Amino acid sequence: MRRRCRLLLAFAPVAPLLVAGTARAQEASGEALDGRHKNYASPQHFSAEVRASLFTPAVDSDPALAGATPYKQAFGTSPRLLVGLELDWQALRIPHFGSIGPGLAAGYTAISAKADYTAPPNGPSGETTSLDIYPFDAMAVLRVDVLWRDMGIPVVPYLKAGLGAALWRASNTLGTAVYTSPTTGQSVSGEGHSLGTHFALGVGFNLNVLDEYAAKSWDEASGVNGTYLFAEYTREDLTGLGMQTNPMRVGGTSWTFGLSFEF
Amino acid sequence: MRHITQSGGTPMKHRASSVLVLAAVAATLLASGAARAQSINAAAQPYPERFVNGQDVGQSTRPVNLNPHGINYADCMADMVFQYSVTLSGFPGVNSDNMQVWATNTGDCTADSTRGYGVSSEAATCWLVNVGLTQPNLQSSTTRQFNIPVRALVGPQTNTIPKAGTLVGDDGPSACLTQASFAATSITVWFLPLTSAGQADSNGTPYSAPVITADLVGPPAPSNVQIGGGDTLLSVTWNPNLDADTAGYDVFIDPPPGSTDAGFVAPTTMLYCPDTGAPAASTGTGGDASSDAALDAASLDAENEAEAAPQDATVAATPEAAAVEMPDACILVNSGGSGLAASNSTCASTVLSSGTLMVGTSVTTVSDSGTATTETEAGILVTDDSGTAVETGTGGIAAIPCLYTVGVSSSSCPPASPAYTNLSTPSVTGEIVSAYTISGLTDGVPYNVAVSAVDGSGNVGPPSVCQPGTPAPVNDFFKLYREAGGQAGGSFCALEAVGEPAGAPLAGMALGAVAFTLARRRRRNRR
Repeated sequence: MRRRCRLLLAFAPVAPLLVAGTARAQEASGEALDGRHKNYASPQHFSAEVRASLFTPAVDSDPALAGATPYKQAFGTSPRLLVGLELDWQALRIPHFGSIGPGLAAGYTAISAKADYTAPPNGPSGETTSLDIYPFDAMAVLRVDVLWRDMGIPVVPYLKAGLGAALWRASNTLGTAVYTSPTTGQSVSGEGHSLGTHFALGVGFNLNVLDEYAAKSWDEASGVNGTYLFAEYTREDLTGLGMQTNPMRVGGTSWTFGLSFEF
Repeated sequence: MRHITQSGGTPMKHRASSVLVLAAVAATLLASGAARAQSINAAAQPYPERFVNGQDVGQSTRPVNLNPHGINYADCMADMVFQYSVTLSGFPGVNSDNMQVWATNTGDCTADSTRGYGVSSEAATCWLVNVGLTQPNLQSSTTRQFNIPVRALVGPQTNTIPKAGTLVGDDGPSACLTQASFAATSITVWFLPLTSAGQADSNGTPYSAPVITADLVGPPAPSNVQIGGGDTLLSVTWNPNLDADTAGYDVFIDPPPGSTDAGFVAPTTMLYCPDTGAPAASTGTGGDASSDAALDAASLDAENEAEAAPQDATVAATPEAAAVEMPDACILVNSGGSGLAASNSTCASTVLSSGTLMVGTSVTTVSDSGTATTETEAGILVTDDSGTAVETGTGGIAAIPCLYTVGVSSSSCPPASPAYTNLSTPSVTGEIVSAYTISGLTDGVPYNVAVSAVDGSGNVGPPSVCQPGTPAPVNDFFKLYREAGGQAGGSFCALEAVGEPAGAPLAGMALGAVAFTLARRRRRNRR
């Protein structure tokens, strides 16, 4: 039963692809040129995003830490910049509603600070301690662009849901951190991966309305149908997905902003 | 008829004699031309072979990125000799031209005035570095070798150039101190066919060897050197230099990583003796065995250089101190040893501190009778023949023993040698680099650190102000995380769930992709 659940989860991000063929057929009938899009000749199948957010990983939420806050102790509470790229395939167009399709995203953030001395007088040392996180997401993306296409309101709300994973590496001045247990003497390298879920809810503002002539020219020149400024609430729960018992919780919640381009 | 014959014969006779005259003139001209078409060339081997203590060390002793065909301070101090192989032809012997070798840092020696002819000797810009050949008889191409001491090439750059036709004197190691600033200079060596009067022969073809870049002074020390402690390491930062000379930095630490004797560091010494009298073979600087050993090493160097030692080497204190004149004695410049390094605020290393050109903390004078007198003075500088301190405060050479350099392979850092003989690349390469981490240290042991800039010729400049630092354990994030009970870690592909097959999530995604592909194929088949 548990394995079946895992299989379903693995299918989740790619489920919309199964009906992509239908979308193609509908688009070929000319529906893609409906609404305001009729002014633009190039077809539209994808969306690319450039993303940035102020992010604080939820490392200290790990129950295994029993309330201890090693992340806060090492790096403080200030959020760090997380940058990323995303590519969505608008595989299925739902007339007078929007599009749905799979998407892939990748990001990077680095958190570093001066490590404190262990012995008095403590205080920051000259050694740097760092945590690098590389999040990857595979998701289904639902864009409700009926407001823009049918009513000319340049607002496109959207929803994303899928699987998330992140590679992480804890390091110090000399490279990847290594912890040696004082009791067992065993050494553990400070790198690993964490699995979980990815969820986002956002809204995009179509910038084409600011200069329709320029937007049309760019579409004709480069095939970009629409440019959006978006804001998104992102939640990355990297708690193991039932496959990992105590992963480092390098996910978290954040507000993400960026630009997206439909083409 | 005779008249005709005569009259007719006279023009013929004149014509014949004219032809003979022309032939004679032509033959003379040809012979003269052949005799005066002196040719000098070294195209087969434009760069000279280098010799140190009579040993051929090849055409270069440095990596290709460190001005391998140029001259640096180490070359000069080693009393290196350049040997040019030059092919000569067209020199007929008696009553023909001489061939001499001249050097200049203004580019040209072919004009007589550059060699001091027709002008005052002060106006000369070239100096004679090898008397060459006197009226050689070398009609056909013949290769000859010409030796030129490096010190003869670099010595007269700022000193008074010898009067025309006078060979550059041997100034010994002081010739290596003639460069006024850390900026490199260009020296051109000319092989000139000259008349016996020393003037250029326009019929001869002079030859200039490839320009030599001479750089005898290291770049200034970087400023604002800061030390941060870490777990078995020290992080060193500094403000990078902005000059056009710096190509990297050498980082020095006292005591060296892995040293078992952190309490005492033997001093480094430099011995100068006049031409007359033997160099001091043993002179104590406090009776310590280590310092005696160091002195012996220095004495060996001094013996090699004794012949070339400055006649009137003088030692003068910094502007705050009075000059010490010792013209008739060997002079030992002692750069000092280190005591136990300070723990926090005071840098106790006398090895790494107060680095300027030929700086010492004491001077030991050994008279001919063997009496040793030691004067201790901070910042003592060796001066040039004119008594002027060469050190300008913006350049110099690090006299720190090479063993204190970190990040440099030991093979390029001979034992007991000063830092300027480091023939490898610097600890860090690049002028804008401003940080270095010294690892492999022992927690709790105080260290002293200094940084020198290194130029593109491998000269190691004077060290920065010495900074103390002590490695100590730190709490890095992963240590805090694991000590708090965190379980993650191991590797990027580590399994956190016991019994879970490797790469389970990736396998799941791959399965999804396969299912998707199959679904697409099935749909196509239906069509």
